[in-house]
Amino acid sequence: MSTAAAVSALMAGVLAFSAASLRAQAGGGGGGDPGRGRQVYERYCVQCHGDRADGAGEVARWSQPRPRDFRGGVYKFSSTPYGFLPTLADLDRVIQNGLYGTRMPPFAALSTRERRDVIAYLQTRSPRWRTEGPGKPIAIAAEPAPTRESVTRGRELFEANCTKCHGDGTGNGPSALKGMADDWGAAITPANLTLGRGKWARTARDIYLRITGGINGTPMPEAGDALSPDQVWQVAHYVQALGGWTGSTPELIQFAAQLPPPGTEAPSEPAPADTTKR
Amino acid sequence: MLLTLKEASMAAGSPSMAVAWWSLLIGSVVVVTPAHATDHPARALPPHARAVVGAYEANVNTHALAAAIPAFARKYGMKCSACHLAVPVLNQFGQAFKDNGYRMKNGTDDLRANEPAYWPLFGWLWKNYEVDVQRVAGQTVQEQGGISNGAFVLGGLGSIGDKVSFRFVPIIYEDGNTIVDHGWIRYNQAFGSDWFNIKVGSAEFDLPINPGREYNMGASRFAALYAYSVPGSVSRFSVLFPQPGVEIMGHDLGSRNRYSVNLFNTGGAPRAHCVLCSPGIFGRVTHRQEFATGFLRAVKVGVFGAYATWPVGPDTSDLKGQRRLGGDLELWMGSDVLPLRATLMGMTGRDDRALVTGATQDPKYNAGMLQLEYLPKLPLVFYGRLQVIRNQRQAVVGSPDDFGDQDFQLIGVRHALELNSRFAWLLELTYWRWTIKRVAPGGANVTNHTVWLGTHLDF
Repeated sequence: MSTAAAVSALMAGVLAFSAASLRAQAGGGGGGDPGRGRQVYERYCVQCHGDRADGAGEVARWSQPRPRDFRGGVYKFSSTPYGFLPTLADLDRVIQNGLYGTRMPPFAALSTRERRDVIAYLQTRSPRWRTEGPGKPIAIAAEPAPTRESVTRGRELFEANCTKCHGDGTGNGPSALKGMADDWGAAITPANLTLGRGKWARTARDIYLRITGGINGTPMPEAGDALSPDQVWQVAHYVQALGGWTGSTPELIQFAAQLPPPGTEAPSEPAPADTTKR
Repeated sequence: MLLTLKEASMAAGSPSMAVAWWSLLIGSVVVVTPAHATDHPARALPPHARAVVGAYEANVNTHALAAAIPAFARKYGMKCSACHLAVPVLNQFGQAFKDNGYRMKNGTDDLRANEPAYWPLFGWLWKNYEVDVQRVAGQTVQEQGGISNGAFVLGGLGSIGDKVSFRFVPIIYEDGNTIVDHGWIRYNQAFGSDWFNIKVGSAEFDLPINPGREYNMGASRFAALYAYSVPGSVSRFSVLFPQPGVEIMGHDLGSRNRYSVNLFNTGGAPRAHCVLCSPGIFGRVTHRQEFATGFLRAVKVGVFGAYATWPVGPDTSDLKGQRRLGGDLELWMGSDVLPLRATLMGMTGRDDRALVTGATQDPKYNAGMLQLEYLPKLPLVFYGRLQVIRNQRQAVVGSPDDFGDQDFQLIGVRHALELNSRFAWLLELTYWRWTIKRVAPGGANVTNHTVWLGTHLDF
């Protein structure tokens, strides 16, 4: 047998062996496969989230905010009420889009099966998934059109409910200045809402969800019944205009910029014209 | 024959020509010692046969610039395996990262979003033991082996802002040669779209299996297919080598649909001193389809083509063309993460007869390649490759039909002893056999057998 034939035969043998091996572990095509998810996890996730899924990977010490500890089954961002497990779509969204400004990159290049498998694996890391199901997604009321009035009203609500942490919108509220921590004991800072996007949120609808559902494991509470759906939309429209988020209009952005920053005393009457500079 | 890059650049006429010469230089310096050169069987060959053997030697000793980029791992806190199916071959996530101009697009790409101490710099260092045996007509005519000259690469690569990415990679060989791998600056997302990115500089072509990301750490074995020149051709154009010019490329989210177009001045073309005095164009489009169920996980298909010119007269007023057309099919089977991957590629080439001395007709050839990779577990990969090159029409009437045809087989295994967010340490064992037909005196075949054992550090 010539060398060329031997090499070709060897390649064919490897092909047959590996195909048989892979077919044997192919499994069903329905839900995610935790075993395969573990492989995905080891390739993409383990350096941050750790071999034990405890958020203590080799680069965790350099990461701010800290990588998620999956053992407790607590996920910061979801479409479900505060304290409930997220839906699979919530987890898939974070994997696909990442968390902006953190070490969690968008994994949009991963296939649907890879994402499904790794979610299945993550569900094996916490006993919560064995005893609880995902929460019921928060119902989002129909969005009224953003107007100057809704932005103005949203600013008032923001001042009453949000400035303690978010301050003038940049995250410089008094609580933030004193220092804040999440449930895992890691120092965190309130979001700077003037950047035009959050770690998770991009649209007014996303802001609505965060106001209504809060952020699990952090001091960001759920609004619950404290705000009506219309009021939540008003705050969302104000935040949207505050930082030029997706969907905000130049007119409302300009209008919001002219409003006094939250936390400052609004002028009771127009300031007198300054004639001394003429 | 010991030449420095500087000397070769001067001989070539301009620094830019050194880009196309560098593989020849390395080949000459690393393997063909003066003693060997004296007795080299190619000395007795006719000129067009020597060109074939020369091209082989150049290609066989072209060090591939392929490894992980730990600067990215440091910047983004990820393991090398996130982007590399097996270092240095990219997976789909790595392909998307590269297509984005080495950006995650997550608000952390700008240098200002990183610690001040971070610099987009990295190093590669490799050493290997290599045994080469050359046989002609069943007789061993050359044997050599030993620890070859290693090299240290100190490269700069990555994004410095959301809009700007760059690459510049100098390579310092132990024997003193220093060369610069292709360098470019890229403007990302022109007009705010992923579909329009502009790269200026010397850029690699977007080939089905990228020659810059070769499994074998020590040499670019794709040269057989990509860098093939018809016997006797004066042109040194090859899709293997980066070409100076402008690249426009685009892609969708996740890089499942992609295109690239390169407008270039053929690297190394003599007397081509203006921007497009010896122009060429390369283009490729690809589509990747993923499947929600079944053993077949994904299929990627692509087509590519190149047309380059090369001067044959006293200046660049008389340019002659070369055409390359190809297609490729990539199958991901069993697993996305630890797959069995098969890549099938075909290519055809046609050169103008004026590029071959004494030619009476345009030479044509066909080439094909099958590569298999299997990853039983991270970070272990087995790979094998078959390549064939068949001349369809010889330029010189009377030449044997199979003169210059090539057969190539390669098998290898690579294992990473370390693969983390700071560095990679790789071990590799590869064997390949390369036959070039009818080029020895008397029309015999020349066959080279090589065993390559090497280690590679990326940090």
